[in-house]
Amino acid sequence: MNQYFSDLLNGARSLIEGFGVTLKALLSPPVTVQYPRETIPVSAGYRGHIELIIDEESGSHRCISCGTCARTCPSRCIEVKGEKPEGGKRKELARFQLDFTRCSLCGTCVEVCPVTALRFSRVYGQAGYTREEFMIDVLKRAGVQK
Amino acid sequence: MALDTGRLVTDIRACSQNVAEPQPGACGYTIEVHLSPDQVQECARSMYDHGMYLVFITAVHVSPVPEVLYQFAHFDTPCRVLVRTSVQSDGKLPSIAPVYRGADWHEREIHDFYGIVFEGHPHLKPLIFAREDRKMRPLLKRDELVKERSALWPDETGLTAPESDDAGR
Amino acid sequence: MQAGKKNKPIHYRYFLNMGPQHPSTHGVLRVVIGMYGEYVLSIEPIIGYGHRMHEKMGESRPWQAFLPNTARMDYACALPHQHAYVRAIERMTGVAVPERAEYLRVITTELNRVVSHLLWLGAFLLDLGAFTPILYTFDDREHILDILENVTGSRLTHCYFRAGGVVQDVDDSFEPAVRACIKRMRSRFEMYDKLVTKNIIFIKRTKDIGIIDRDMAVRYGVTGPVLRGSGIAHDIRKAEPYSVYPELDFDVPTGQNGDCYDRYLVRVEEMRQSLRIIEQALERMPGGDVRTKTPKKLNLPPGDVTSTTEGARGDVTYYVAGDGTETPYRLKVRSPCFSNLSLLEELCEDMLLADLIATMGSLDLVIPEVDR
Repeated sequence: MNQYFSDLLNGARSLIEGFGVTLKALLSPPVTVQYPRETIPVSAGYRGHIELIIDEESGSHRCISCGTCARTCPSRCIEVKGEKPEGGKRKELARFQLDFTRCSLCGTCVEVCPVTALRFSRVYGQAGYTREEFMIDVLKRAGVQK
Repeated sequence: MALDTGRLVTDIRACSQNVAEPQPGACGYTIEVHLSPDQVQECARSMYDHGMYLVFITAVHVSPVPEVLYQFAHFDTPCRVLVRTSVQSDGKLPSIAPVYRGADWHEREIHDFYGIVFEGHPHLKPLIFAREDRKMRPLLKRDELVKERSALWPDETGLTAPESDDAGR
Repeated sequence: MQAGKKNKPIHYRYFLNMGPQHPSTHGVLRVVIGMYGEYVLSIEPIIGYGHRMHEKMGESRPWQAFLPNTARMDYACALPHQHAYVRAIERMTGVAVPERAEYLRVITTELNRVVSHLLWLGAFLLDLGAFTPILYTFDDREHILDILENVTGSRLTHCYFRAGGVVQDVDDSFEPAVRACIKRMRSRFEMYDKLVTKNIIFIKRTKDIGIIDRDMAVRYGVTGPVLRGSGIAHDIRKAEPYSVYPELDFDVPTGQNGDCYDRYLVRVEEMRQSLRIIEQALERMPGGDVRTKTPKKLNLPPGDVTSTTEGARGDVTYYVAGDGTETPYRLKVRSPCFSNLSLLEELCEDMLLADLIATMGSLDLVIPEVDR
């Protein structure tokens, strides 16, 4: 019988203490950010889809279209094609397509590139209506960035 | 209740002579045992009496017969035992579910992936696959990719040479 | 609990299907419950709804390609899985790891453990019917996930470890951010104490429910906080130490009875100990390289290894068998939730349905890890 009453009292006290916690939280400033009307700055290390680095000296990308990134990608989502232009000596990059629906953002392509041509972009909050919007033409994007 | 490793090794040697103690830093387990299929239940009973818990049961598809591996460890003393056995020629192996009830799910999973039948298992029905996929056996390799046992475990792993010819191989 | 329910007339008994889509099963788990009134007579968990065959993927491609997969199995606490896998590869091939990389691995793994336990806490209390604490724990998680995102690049499925170290070093904002985070978390524990630990409803719902004893733990291979709640102080970080854990000082919390309440107390105390580990590691971290260069094509020698780490849910073991090529011949992932879930059939006979929910919640299940 004593146990019953002590349970009752201790229980009531614990519930009131709990209410005190939530009341304090009610009167504190809210932590919710009303996204998308307000945004938080994206952190520096965030991994968006890959992009070609524009070299400052040459003014263009460094890719030599060796295809190592395409071969080592675990999800096989990169397509690289190089073509030799007429009268030119070396292959130039003609097509660099990324299938972002399969990419797992592992970073293998960025690491194995022999000339460090790739890096992660900071594109955040991509949304689209069709699957085709996520087939990213990385070469075209590099051309636009120039 | 600490484990008496010396007594454990003695009890294992009573089941099978083919026991080795490789360097723990090298491969992660402290005792390695090779058994024939009929010694499995006795060894499992001996492990249970020493208080070893079941870590996992898995199988490897090698030729001529797949090999099943059990790993046991202890709560109070660092000791990991890897028990190897080959499946019998009819594709069956005695189940340790009567001793270790947790082996129930591990053996059902191996049955799904490899098709190995465990005799004495209370209900060997598909665990991970749906009923219509129960014959899929995905982890069995294609004929051209299956390797010999010796390609995976060459003789210089530090095992003592078996005194008698191990059955099932 | 009262015996003899199984002898009730059969027309009083019925089956309740807690289907694969259910907020309390923490993933796609189907549980078929044979019931009498409010009492559970028999229970059959049916898994496989989230099965993706990770082991076959690991055996079809070079070992480097499996690294993203390790994060997708247990997504709530992915780094111990990654740690176990790269340790297995390093053991087989003999690649050395610089000391700074080991410390970074430990710090990020412990942050991941805190994040995972906070997620568990919120979800467990939500299962019991408390709608507020999950919002507080998710707020706490955000601060830590911001740090992890800056270091590893992702909030949840990190791909940060490699054989030979980690991908990249941390920048100057890392240490002040982590210290601020630790300070903040410590002040929040008091709040959780008042809100949850002493709450009479929580105590009544979790005390003496779902008691696991040592014999059951041995037979099913139970590890992690579920085991430590039953009084057995088994932690891989102390029993088979790896990385730089031997140099760090921390305690292994245990419970006494093995009920849901003890498992809750163990996990909260583990969060406190993780913060202790992170502080010590920050003090001791040396400078230097974070990655040893490995050749582009690194073959796995013939033979097999197992490597074990302590995940947030228990003992994560990877078994890798190599055959001389780059592709593992056999890759087995031992997930702790698989072994922890298998004891549900025996544990939950003659329980009330509400107690079954509390027990399942206290086991901390992540079903993609069970299904792989």
